[in-house]
This record gives sequence, C-alpha cells and structure tokens, in this order.
Amino acid sequence: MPAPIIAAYSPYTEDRAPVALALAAAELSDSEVTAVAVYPWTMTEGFAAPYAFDGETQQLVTSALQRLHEDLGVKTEVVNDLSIPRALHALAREVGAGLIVVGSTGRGRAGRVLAGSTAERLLVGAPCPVLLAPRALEDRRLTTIAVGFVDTPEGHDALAAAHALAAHAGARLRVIAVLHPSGGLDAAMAAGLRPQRAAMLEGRHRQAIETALDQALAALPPGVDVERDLHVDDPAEVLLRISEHVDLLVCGSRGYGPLRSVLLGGVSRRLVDEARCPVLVLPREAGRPLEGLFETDDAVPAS
Amino acid sequence: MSTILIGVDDTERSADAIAFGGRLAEATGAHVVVAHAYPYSDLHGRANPAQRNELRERALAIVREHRARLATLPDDRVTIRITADPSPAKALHHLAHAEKAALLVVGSSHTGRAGRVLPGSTGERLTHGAPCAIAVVPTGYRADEPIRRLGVAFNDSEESRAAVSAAAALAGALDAELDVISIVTPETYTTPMLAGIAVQDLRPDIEREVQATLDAAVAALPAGVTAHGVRATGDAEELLTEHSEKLDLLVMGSRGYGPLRAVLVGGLSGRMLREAHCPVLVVPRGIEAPLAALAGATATTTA
Repeated sequence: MPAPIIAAYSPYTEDRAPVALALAAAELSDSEVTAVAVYPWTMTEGFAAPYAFDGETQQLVTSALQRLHEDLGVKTEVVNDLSIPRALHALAREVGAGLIVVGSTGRGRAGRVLAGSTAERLLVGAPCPVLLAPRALEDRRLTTIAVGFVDTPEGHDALAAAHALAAHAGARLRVIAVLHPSGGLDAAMAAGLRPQRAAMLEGRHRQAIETALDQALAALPPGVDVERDLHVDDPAEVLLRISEHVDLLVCGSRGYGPLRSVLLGGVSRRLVDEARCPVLVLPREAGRPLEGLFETDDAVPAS
Repeated sequence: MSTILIGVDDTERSADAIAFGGRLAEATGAHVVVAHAYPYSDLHGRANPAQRNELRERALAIVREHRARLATLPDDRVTIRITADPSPAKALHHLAHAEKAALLVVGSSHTGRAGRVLPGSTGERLTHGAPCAIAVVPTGYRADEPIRRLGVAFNDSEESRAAVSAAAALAGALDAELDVISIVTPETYTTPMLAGIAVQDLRPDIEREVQATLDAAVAALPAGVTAHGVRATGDAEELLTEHSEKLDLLVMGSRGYGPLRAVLVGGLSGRMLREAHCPVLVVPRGIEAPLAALAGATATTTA
C-alpha cells in the first residue's frame, strides 16, 4: 500500500487548494487522501469530560467536512487539538503519511504561497514531505515540475524526487542550477574581488556545477523530458521567477539539523513565502523522500 | 566537563552573548568555546589561498577580541574556534555537535529593540534544530548585574518539565531564585464558555487544577533551590513578557512534537524569543534533564 496523504483543511476558510492538490498527488500514487480538520474541543486535562462540546461550532465543522466529502469524494476526519500543526504532525506519524499538504495563510495573495503559522511549524520538523498549496489554487495540472539543483546530498535527493514525480505525472522537468554572482562568497567579500578574478572564479564554479549536474542526471532513469538551466543570480530570486511558469517547485531541506525531518534553509525559506506555484519541501536524509508514495521505480511509465 | 559554545561575529551584539555566556561559565565552571564562522568555501574550484588567509586572519582577530572580554576565565577554560563556512548557523550547529556543547549562546539581531531579545538569521535557524540548548541574549545586555532571578514557563508537558529541571539546575549553580510560571490561557476555557457554561463557574476549577500541578512541581524541586510558583490567568505572551522584566533569565521547553534531541521553538517560545526583556534559553526536546551536566560542573570545580 502506498503511504497515505494528509490534507490539512480549514473548515472556516474552506480553502480547498490543499485537498485538491492532495487528490492530484494521489492520482499519481494511488494513495488514500484524508482531509483533516483540527478543532480544539479539548480542554486542559481533567476538564474535558464534564463539559459538552460546543454544538454550534461542531455543526459548522462537520457540515464543512460534509460538503467537502460530497463535492470531492474525499475521506474526512476531525482531530481534537489546541495546536493544528501538532495534531497534523502526530497524525502523520501515526498513519505513516507519505505527504502532508497544507494551504497558505489567508493573508497572502491568490495564486501565491505564503506559509502561515501551521505550515511554518510543519516546515520545521515534519516527519514526511510537506507540500504547500497556494491560496485559491485554480489549475492543478502537473505539466512542468521545477527543482533547484545543488551539489549536496539534500540537493541530489530533491532532484531524484522531482524526477520520480515527473516520471509518474508524465510532466516535464526543469532542473535549475544557480550560481550566486559572488561565486558562493559573501556579497561583501565578492565586492572586493577584481572583475577578472571574479570571472575566473565564476567560470570554475560554473564548470563544477555543470559536471555535477551532468553526472546526477546521467544516473537517473530515462523517460523524462528534462530541461536544464544554469543561472548566475540570487538562487531564491531565480526560483521565484521560474515559479510563475511551472506547476510545482521541489526543494530539499537544509543540510544540517535533525535527520528525517523537514527543515527550511535560506532559499527554501523564501520560496515558501513568495512562490507562485505549489512548493514541495522534502525531509533531510530520507534517502528517497517520496518512496513512501511511489513504492517501486518499476512502475515508472517509459513515456 | 561541560561546554558553553558562544557564537560571535564582528558586531556589538556578540559582546552581549559573550557577557552572558561568560557569566554562566563563571558560575557553573563550564568550559567556553568562542566560535566564529567566516564566509569562505574551498568547494568547487573556488579555492583562493590568498583570500582564505586574509579572511582567516580577520576571523582570528574577531574571536581573540571577544576572548579578551572573558577576562576572569583562565586560558585553560577557553578555546577559540574559527571555521570557514558560508553559513554561520551550519558551522555553529556542527561545532555544538563536535564540542558536545551543553549550551549555545548567541546575541540578538541588530534590528531588535534595546534590551529585548530577537534572534538574527543565524539564531533563528539554530532555534529550529540546534542539537543542544540555545540562549538568545538581548541587545545591550548588562554584564554587571548579577543573575539573581530565573524564570521557567511550566504547563505540565514533558517539554516544560525538562525546562523546569534545567532551570532548577541553573538556579542551583547560580545561587539564584527560581519562578516557576504557569499561565491559564483563555483557550483552556473558551470552548465550554461557548457551549453555554458560564466562564466564572469553570475558571476557578481550572485555576485550582493548574495551581495544584504547579505546587507539586515546585515541591518536587531539589531542596537547595529557592523556588516560587507563579500562576496567572490571561494572555500567555503578554504575561510572560511582562514578567520577564523582573527576570535575569527565562528558560523554556521546546514544542511538543518533532524530532527528538533538538531544539524546536513552538508558539509561545517563538514569541518570547522576540519579546522578552531578558535572555531566553530554550532546551531541546526528548532529554529529561538538559543542562544537568552544565550545572553539575560547579560541584567538580568547587570541591
């Protein structure tokens, strides 16, 4: 059985973007999707029992879930907890979820992602990949997937995961390598470099990235339409610009901190606050982070 | 021998971190590592020995200057470390591991308010996933005021019990008084209020329950620690911020979900890291008695 997918659903805003995205992902993996609403019926320990639930609010939550179930045919669940991210985290561990899909905060602009407090906490420490849906997502087709490439274990994992996803979706894959204009140095340091020296450093760095990328791509199974670009710019800026033209942006976690957890880094931090498409953040050192969803590579159609 | 790792750069806020970390080291007999990461990487043909040496010299000058501020600590109690790493957060994270540090101390961002804590980008990243306890020191921290009164936030969760244990150990080592603070928040009684139960009927019940738990926690502290239970009802962030004006250090637990043996700030600790008037120390989750070794070091040095 492929690992189940959890979609966080707010019965108040009724933003269906996370559920729609979860269902789109489930089409690729045959996972079961559960739309989860978290509501704090709970009281301080020892006080929960004597008091009845609040009937009116309960009605609101159950009827929102009922509508969702009728329209999208998705399984729904209500969890009691004062903390929404804690409840989602616990549920993900309990069911061994392969993916948690969360929506953006209502403060954000339509069509853009913006991590709210729930997404924010899941993006730090979640035990499985987290997919952040833009607010009021309209088009959930997956024709182009982009992944930022860095030559680190996390970067290679992200590339492999994005590639597997593209294979399952029959989507094109855009692999974006970005070379910071400073050649990886602090901007202040780079400012002191002579132009020729900077150009030479850039040339060497560019070559190193290209070689690493070539090798990484050569190791992946054939059958995916891959397009690769190398930009010299601020990595977050490049990926944000590209997010306007793709249907999904995949990124890895930062390279230090607890293992097998999602942890935002400097670039992914900005992506989850500004991207114009859904953003998938993978946990650290999970080997093949999406393997829970896609069990065997044999299933990859050679399109 | 326990170790306190103090992360420094060439700004004034590092002097705050040194002042606080140095005083804890004096009181506990801990070893101090003063560390600075300079933005250089040998990766991918970026190697540039001349530049590396220049950066290295500058980095050494920075740590030596900060080391000199720890005038009361002899040379065998202090180590200086410089690391070439474009990410200071990553460098400090790895050093905390390598040095088996019990505590990592950083200053506040230059964008913060005087006398208040506010982690900068490095501190922020470390508060998500640091492998040991982390303390963020407010800007303009006064080194000459003694640490007389500690506070610890307590809500009977496993994480807050770890925080109480750490705070009690520190209070013992510093010969300071300890306020164990429990706050009854509106969330704990709003739901039944909506259900038609008058809040005045319920509130005393909850407050009695919280007080009893608090009393038991205070009573269970080691005999040498002078502790007071402080219970308040209202907005937790507001009340704790207000109380922090009277404190010389506020200790908090990590949030209750996510990877173990790592610091993970939650809702309240995250807000206190932006509001408190005194240094804020967050202990990692999944460790029963964090800082026990640090505070225990006193015994070995005074014996």
